[in-house]
Amino acid sequence: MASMNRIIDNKYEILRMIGQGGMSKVYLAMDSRLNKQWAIKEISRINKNGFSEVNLKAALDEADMMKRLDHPALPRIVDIIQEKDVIYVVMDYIEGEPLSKLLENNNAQPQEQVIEWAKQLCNVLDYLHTCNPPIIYRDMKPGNIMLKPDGQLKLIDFGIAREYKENKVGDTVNLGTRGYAAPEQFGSQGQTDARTDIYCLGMTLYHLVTGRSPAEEPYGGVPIRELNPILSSGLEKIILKCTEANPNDRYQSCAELLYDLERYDEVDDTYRQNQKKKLKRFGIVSAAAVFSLVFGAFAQVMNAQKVNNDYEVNLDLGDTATTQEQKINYYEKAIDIKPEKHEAYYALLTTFKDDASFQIEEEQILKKKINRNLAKLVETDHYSDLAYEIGKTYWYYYDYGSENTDDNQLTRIKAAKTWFSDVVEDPENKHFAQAKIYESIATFHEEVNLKVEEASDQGMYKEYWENIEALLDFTIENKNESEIVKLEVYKLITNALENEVRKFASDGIEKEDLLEVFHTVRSLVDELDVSTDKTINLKESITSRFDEVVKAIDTAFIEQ
Amino acid sequence: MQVLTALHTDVGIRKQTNQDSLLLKVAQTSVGKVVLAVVCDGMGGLEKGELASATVISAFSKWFDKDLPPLLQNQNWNEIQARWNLLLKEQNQRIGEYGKRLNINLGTTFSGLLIIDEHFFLIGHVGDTRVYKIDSKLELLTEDQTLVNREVQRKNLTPEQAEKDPRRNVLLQCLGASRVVEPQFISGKPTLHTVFMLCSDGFRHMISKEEIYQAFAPEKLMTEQQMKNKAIELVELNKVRNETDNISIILIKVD
Repeated sequence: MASMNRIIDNKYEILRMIGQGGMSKVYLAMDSRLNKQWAIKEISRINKNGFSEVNLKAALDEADMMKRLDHPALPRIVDIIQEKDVIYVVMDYIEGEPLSKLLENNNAQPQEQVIEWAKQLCNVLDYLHTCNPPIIYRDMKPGNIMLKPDGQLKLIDFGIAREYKENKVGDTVNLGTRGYAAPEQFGSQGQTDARTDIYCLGMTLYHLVTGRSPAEEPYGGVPIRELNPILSSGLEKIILKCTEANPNDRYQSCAELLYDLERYDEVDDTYRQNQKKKLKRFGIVSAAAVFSLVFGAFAQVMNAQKVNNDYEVNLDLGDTATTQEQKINYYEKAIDIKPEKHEAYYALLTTFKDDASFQIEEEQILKKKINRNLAKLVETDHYSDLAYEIGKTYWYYYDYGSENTDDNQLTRIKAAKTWFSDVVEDPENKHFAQAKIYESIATFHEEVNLKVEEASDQGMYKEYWENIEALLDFTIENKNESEIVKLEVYKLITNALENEVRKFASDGIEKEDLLEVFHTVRSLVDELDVSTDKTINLKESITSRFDEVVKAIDTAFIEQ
Repeated sequence: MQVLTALHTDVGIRKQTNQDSLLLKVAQTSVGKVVLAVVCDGMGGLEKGELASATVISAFSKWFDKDLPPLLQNQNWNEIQARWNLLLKEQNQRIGEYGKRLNINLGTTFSGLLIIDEHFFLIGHVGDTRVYKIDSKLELLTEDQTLVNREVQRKNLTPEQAEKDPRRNVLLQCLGASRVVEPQFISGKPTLHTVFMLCSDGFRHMISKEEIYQAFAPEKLMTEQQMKNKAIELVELNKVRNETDNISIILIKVD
């Protein structure tokens, strides 16, 4: 046993015991090197009654499996130390309070809050259930859910030698400790699966929203509004469906449950009644007209409804997923279900841009999805809006890995061009003017080198300069533009001034014009507050060129 | 009133400890014969279940010796139920706190019967131990506070399904592990030529109501030795039929 002040593995000093079960103890420990606190679970082969109950090998295997999990609502395992009769599992020490603490005096929690928690819990269960092989938590209850000071939840007492023993028929037990358990968790032959977790989650929500433990009268078996009539009927239906005795009658996956949680107020009776009324009014007018069509159309509609749901579910899952990888995965699925709908593409683009850089691997994913469906997409309404968004993603965020950032900017601009060309084909598009400018600037960069070789570049620069000025204008107008977009525009202009100033001069652009734009850009750069490493660097690199730009402008006009 | 009693308890064929605890007291008082019988089926790992059931038994034994005599003098029968209620809640609290301190789950059921001659009887009950009355028929007086019984009442299970349900040993209430205990109380005047039977759940899974009635019908129990023999006979029958739990029974015949 780890006694207080003992040091494990020359590194972890045991501070105090924070939890205890029959065959494991949890300590708070201090990592002396990192000066960081960890929770250490001590699993001993010999329990406190001197009986050998734990299979250390199995516990070790489980710890190894757990180590690979990566989800913000699960504690990370950072170290596993094996000694003769003991395993120490080092994991995140989670500050906060278990939800059971909040419930201690029958304090029902606010419904909105419970629904928010429900979504978080659904999300982490979905993560576990979609692991390969699926992981079933089996012990969802308020005592195992920590509410962190930042409002996020974490599941604790996860896996590893958890005090979860199959109940032998014949041993009398009290519901108090088992009130959240699904019927199939009793007895030895019960098969537990994802639906078992859904049952336990349902009972947990029941407790949270009513303040009544399922181990107390009326034992979790009644609709929540019998205990508190002001609760939502939608939430009531959701909880009843989660806690059906027969697993086949419950939600079959967390994705299904999440879908309903997102819309619990739509499941509400009042909402339904309104919808029904609308439907009735509509029905009377159109019944006669539609009658002959109904039979054939019905099956089609039902099918469409299903596909629609799956699409929405994946979008929702993507929106609530916490890692980029998962988000991308769900949005890809959504695209596969309805490749002609734009929403998932936008969501995918936003996810790609999240880290301020559109990576090559991400571009591959986008290309795979877009190219396959492009023919269909081009035919859809508002396709040009999507094209504009893709164009901008390339223009401002594409990171194809070159060390040379100027080089990178040109590559991005060229890659974006084809998308802006698509926008320009649609004069109705609200970004038509901007797209035209982007396209022209891209065209300039594509052609200028060749034209220089042919010595036929004269006249190009005037148009280029006008486009740059226009780009600056609408960047200034659009105050909500991201730091990156703004800085990239300033950088483009600074580069142009430094490198092409003589050409601008020879195409007849006045020094005052150039200086005026330069001063505008300089003050814009100075004023801009930057918040990320990437933008800080970008701002610095632009600022560092200002002296050179001034020199370049002066020299160009002296020579004339 | 004449009172005959017998009790028997057996660890059973599987378990290493007997977590059932029994109490049987008979006293001759100024108001006549007074009988107290209690069956407690403890639960919790190893010796802890036994501790829980024995704690409650010893509390009721003390109550019988110390607190009951003044109540008998006043002949205030209705006060007794309130005292039991308090006593049971106190026990729940004490065992619960003990469990919390040691970080273990332990608890016990409780089925108690107090007979005050022909004046009054009181049954107090928590969990799935039982009290039966046997006269011209076998009648179950207590209601099991179990998950399956609740499901039967909600018509989610038939009584036959409940017998086989893997959750049949899950209690809704017990002393020591429930936040609030709501005991069931039954009181009235005892009828004569009646047998009262208290038993742990180990006694009743493997044998039929008919078999119980045949063994313990009032006309068949004429001496305490007969009662003891019949009790042992049925306990052994349970074991032959592979009952794995502890098995306990108390018989009280009033004439």
